[in-house]
Amino acid sequence: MNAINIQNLSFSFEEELILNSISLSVKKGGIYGLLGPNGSGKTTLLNLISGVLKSEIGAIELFGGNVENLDYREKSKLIAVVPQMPSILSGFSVEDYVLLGRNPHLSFWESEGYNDEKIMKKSLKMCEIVNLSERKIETLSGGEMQKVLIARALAQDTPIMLLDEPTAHLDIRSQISVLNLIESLVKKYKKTIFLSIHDINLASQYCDHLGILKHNKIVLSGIPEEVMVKEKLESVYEIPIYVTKNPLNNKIIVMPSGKSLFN
Amino acid sequence: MFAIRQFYKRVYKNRYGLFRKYPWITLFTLLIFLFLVIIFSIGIGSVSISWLDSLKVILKNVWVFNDVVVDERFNKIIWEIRLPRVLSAALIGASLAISGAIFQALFRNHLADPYLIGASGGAALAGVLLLTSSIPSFIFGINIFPLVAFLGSFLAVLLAFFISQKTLTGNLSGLLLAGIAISAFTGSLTSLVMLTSEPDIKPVFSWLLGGLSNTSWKAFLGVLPFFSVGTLLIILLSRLLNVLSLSTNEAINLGVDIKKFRIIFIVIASFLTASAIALSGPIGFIGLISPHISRMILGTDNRIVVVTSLLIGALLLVSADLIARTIINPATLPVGIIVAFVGVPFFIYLLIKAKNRNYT
Repeated sequence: MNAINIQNLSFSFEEELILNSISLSVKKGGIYGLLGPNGSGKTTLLNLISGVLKSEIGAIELFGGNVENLDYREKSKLIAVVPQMPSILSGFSVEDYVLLGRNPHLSFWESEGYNDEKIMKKSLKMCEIVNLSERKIETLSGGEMQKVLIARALAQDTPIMLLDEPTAHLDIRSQISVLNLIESLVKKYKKTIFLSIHDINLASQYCDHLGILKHNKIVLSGIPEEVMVKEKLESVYEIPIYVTKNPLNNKIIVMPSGKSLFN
Repeated sequence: MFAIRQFYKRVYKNRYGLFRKYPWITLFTLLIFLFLVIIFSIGIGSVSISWLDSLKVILKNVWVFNDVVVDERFNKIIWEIRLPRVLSAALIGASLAISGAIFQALFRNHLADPYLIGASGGAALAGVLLLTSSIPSFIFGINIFPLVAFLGSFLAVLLAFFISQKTLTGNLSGLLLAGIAISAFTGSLTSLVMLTSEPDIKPVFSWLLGGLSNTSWKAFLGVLPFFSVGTLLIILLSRLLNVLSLSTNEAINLGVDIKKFRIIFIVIASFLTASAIALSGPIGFIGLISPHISRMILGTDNRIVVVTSLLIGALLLVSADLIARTIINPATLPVGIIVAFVGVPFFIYLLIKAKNRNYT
C-alpha cells in the first residue's frame, strides 16, 4: 500500500498555475526525493500534502484514505513537517521546543505529561542530540537546529514525515549527518519520508525514488538509476552534464559542466 | 553594587539558576510580595495606619473574628475607601498585564499591547459613549459597563482583524498596522464625542485619564467575575500560546486551527482589557512592561509569562497608585500619569535594547 498517493493535483494562486496535474506515489517506508529548480513549486506541493494549502482539483490520499475532510489536528497525527525556515522561539530550551511537537496529542487545555516527556526524550535520543537538551534554541548551529526540528517532528509520532530542503544551508558534514539520520528513521522506525532537496547526488544516494519538478509538472520520475541518465538530465536542466560513478560506493554521480566546456 | 551584580548574575543569568529552574519559588515570592505591598499601601495616606491595624480591620470584616477590636475610624477608612481601591488597582494591573502577554505572544511582536492593537481605544470609546448618554451603568443590578467596554474593544480588534484579512500581506504585521490605525481612529472619535456632549465632561475626562478615585466594592465586585473567568481560561489555554508563537504554517502542521484560536485569544484579551478599563479608564504601559519584566525573570515560556505578568502587573499598579495618592499629599494624581512617567522611559529603553534582546 502506498503511504502517499497523489492524483492529478493542480493548484493555482491568483490565477497563476503553480502545479499542473501532479501524480505521484510514495510507498510505505520509502524515501521520496523531490528535485527541481527554485520556484518550481516544491514547497507548494509540500504544503498541499501537509494540509496548509487546499486544492480544488485532484486528490491526495494517505494510506489509501481521503484526507480532505480531516481537521488540522487529525492530519497532524499523520504527517509531521520539518520546515525550511523554522521560527526561533528564543529563550526556549531544546527540550521545551521538541515538546511542542506533542501538541496534536494534547487537548487544548492540557499540559504535557510524563508520557510526553518520555517521547520527547526518545526523540532526542533518536536524533542523537541528548547533549543539546538544555541548550537555548537561539544558540544552535544550522545542523543542530535541523536535528532539533526533526526531533520535534518525531515527537509528533506520525507515520509520514515531510522535510522541506533539510540540507539547505548546511556544510557537507552536517548534510550527511542529517541525511543519515533520516535514513535511519526509515530503517529503524519504518517512517515514510517525503523531502525536497537541491543536491541531486545526495538525493540519488539516499532516496529510493526521485521526482523532478519543472514548469509546474513532474517531468522525470523513477528510481535513481532511471533518473540519473545523461540525456534525461540534460533535457531537464538544459545544461551539459557529466555522469560518472562514485568509486567509493559505486553510485552514479552527476556533475554540471560549464557551457564553455560543452562548446 | 558589586554584590548586587554578582547576585543578579547568579540568579538570573545562570541557566540553571534557582529562579529559572523553579518558577514556583519566584511566583510564590511575588505573591507574598504583592500581599505585603497591598497590606502596606492600605496603611498609607492622609491618615497613617499601622500594618497591624490594617490587618486587624481586614480580619474583622472577612473572617469570623468579629470580636477583634478596631478603631471605627480606621475601619471606615480601610474597609470602605482604601481596600477596594488597592484591590481594584491589583485587578486592573493584572488584567492589562495578561492581555499584554496574550497580544505579544499572538502577534509575535514584543512591542504589542492592548493600546497598540486598538483594544483600549475601542473600550474607551464605548465607555465614553455610555457615560455621555443617559443610559445608567447598572441595569437590574448588573454592571453593564464592562460589557459595553468589552463590546467596544472586541469590535475594534475584530475590525482590525478583518482589515488585515483584506490586506496583501494578510498576516500579523497587517493586523498590527490595522490595529494601530483603528486605535488612532477611536481616539479621535472619543475626542469628538466629548466635544459635542454636555458641558460637564469633567468626570468623563477624569475617567479617560485613567484614575482609581471612583473605585468601590460595588464596581470591583462587578468586574471580578469577568476577570476571574478570563484569567482562568487563559491559564488553561496558555500552552497553545507557545504553539501560536511559531509561524503560521508550523502551527497548522502541529494541528492548531489558528484562525479559531486567534479569535478565541483576541476575545479573551479584549475581555480582560475591557474589564480593567471599565474600572479605571484606560491605563497604558502596564500591558507592555509586565510581560517584558516577567520574561526577563523567568524566560519566554508563555505558560509562565502569563502568570508572572499577572502578579507583576498587579504589583506595578498597586505601587503606582500608592505613589499617585501620596506624592502630593493630600491631592491625588490620576494613576495613569504615574504609570506613564515610569512607563515611557522604560519603553524607550526597550526600543534601544531591542537590537540585542536575549531575554525575549
